[in-house]
Amino acid sequence: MTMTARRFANPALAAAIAALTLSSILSAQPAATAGRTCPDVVRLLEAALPKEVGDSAALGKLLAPRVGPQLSQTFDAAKAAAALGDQLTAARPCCNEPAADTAHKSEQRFTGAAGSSLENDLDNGRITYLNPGRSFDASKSPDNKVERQQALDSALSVLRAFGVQAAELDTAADVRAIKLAGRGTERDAKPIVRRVEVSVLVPRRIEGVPVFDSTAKAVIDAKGQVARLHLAWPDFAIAEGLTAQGVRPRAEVLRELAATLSESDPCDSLERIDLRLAYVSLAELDRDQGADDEKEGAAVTVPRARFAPALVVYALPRSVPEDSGRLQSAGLQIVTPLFALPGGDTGKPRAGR
Amino acid sequence: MQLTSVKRVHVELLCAITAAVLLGAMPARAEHLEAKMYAISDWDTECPGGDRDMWDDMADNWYDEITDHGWYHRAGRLVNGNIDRDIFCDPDTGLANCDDGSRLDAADAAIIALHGADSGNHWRGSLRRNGGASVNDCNIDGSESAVPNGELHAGDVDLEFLHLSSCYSMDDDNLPFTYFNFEDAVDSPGNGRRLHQLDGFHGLMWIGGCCDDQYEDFADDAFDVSIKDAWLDNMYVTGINGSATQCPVAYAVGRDRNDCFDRIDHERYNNVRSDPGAIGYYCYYYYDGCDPDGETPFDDPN
Repeated sequence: MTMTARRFANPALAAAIAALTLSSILSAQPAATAGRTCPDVVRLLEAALPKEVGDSAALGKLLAPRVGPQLSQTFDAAKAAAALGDQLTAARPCCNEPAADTAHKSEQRFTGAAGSSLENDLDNGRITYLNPGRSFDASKSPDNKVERQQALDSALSVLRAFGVQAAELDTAADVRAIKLAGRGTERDAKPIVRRVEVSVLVPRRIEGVPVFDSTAKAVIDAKGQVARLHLAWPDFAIAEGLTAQGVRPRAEVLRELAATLSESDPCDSLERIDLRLAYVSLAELDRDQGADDEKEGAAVTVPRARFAPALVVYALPRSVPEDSGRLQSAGLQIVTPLFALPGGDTGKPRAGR
Repeated sequence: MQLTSVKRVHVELLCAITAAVLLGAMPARAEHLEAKMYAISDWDTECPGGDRDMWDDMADNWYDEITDHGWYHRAGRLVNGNIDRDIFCDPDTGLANCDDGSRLDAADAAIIALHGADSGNHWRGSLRRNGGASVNDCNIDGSESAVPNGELHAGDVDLEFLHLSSCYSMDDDNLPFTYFNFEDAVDSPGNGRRLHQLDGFHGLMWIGGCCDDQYEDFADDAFDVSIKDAWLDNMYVTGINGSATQCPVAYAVGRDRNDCFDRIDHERYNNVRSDPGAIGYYCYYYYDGCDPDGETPFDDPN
């Protein structure tokens, strides 16, 4: 395991080891990326790499989290509808759609008289509730005076009724008002600003570890009801075959990330790299495999409900002055596994396809 | 509450009758609207930019979904290749080779996915090709005043809904000027054609697995709820521990306040109003205080 300079009290020793680490990483580049690894990217990665990376003892603890019953077992559409306060009717398949598609509990659609709909795709952990009748309508809706805590309570109450385990709901939810503003183009009249809805975005954690790309978003109307809800909460299980002995060496993780980021952006163009330890689905870590399978007409074999400890990488391009018109590349988010994945794939960092 | 279940045989009969009536009554309506997609994921030396391999996948998710509901057909998908200014700029700007009328503006709904910047009071997109010696411009500039100024003046041919998957495409301080992108002051007053809605981001946006499902869900939801609800719900993203926050903004215009509010509150992909008869008012929805990278928190400019 490569240790970072931050762990040493002696600055000279730390600097020497950091230089050695950088040198060993740069010299160990695979031929395909030789000469393309940016030293500044390596330095940013070194500074941001969590201390657990490469540490089999620390990472091994992430392989056996306690997990309660999952959504595919707990979701009950009747309870969900009751929590939403909506009269929902099971939609039957129409015309060319085989009955089995919607009769199967994992994929159902319910509709309400006022145009609302509740759709669940439990195989993928997706549930969406849309109620246009509760959406803000500037011609008749009052301003939304729902306070932060009330909005959060409403959202959490509905989520629990949907069958989400309370222990998986991140208490650090993002609660934010949605506003409408308007003004005449002549700018002769006073502008209008209205507080219309409250957004509650709840991330997911398993025993304190974030689950990447798994969130609940609820939008609360002026009556404190859920107007819309987007749940991405796939069943969680650790991928089979992961062992503490399979922890990828710290230097290997760092080298691959450095190569990937150096391919995407020119050297000295990144301002910051944030690295977050998280559970990431195998489907996300190994999307290439899934895509190939789809192309060949076979079933996608990478299960969405299997997760592995991984790093989520947020690479932030260097800022440019406001209004300058100078090129600013979009932020880049990639993932890389911290364990050798089942099937022998060490999991090249995924920056896209 | 008990969910009710309708007897299958009756529903299937009803479905069959409804389908027969619809098919017989309005065959011309099937997929009668045009969707187009333009995405750059790979920049090279002609025009610079960091590569973002997944960007076209994200835009594809939108394109595949919007054309899967029986309203829009696949009218054009251009990824990388020779994406240059000609495709997006209006000929009434007087600039060389501008031909949006047969490209971007010929669609009913379109997405543009490429790097963006904040330039003065408008968005600037980073193209892949400079258009040759007569153009020599790697950017498409949004407009902050009427033609012949600016480059992007959409809607005067056909386009109703334009989504900019691009950084700074809806920066807070640009909003008082964004409505200039919604018309061509030469043609729109005569033909009455204007853009209805423009959606984008305040500050930086993100490319990766964080954000690809959102594009499919956005297109899907926008047939059931307003386009602005679908945009705001699905594009608002906060990463782990607050990293990588995206701040979506939905923007519309109208003849007056009521017209603007009515459009932005009710227009869906399958509920398209007639074009705005004039632009006397602009309105937008946003996340209050949303704090993206690369910009200060959203501060309403009005």
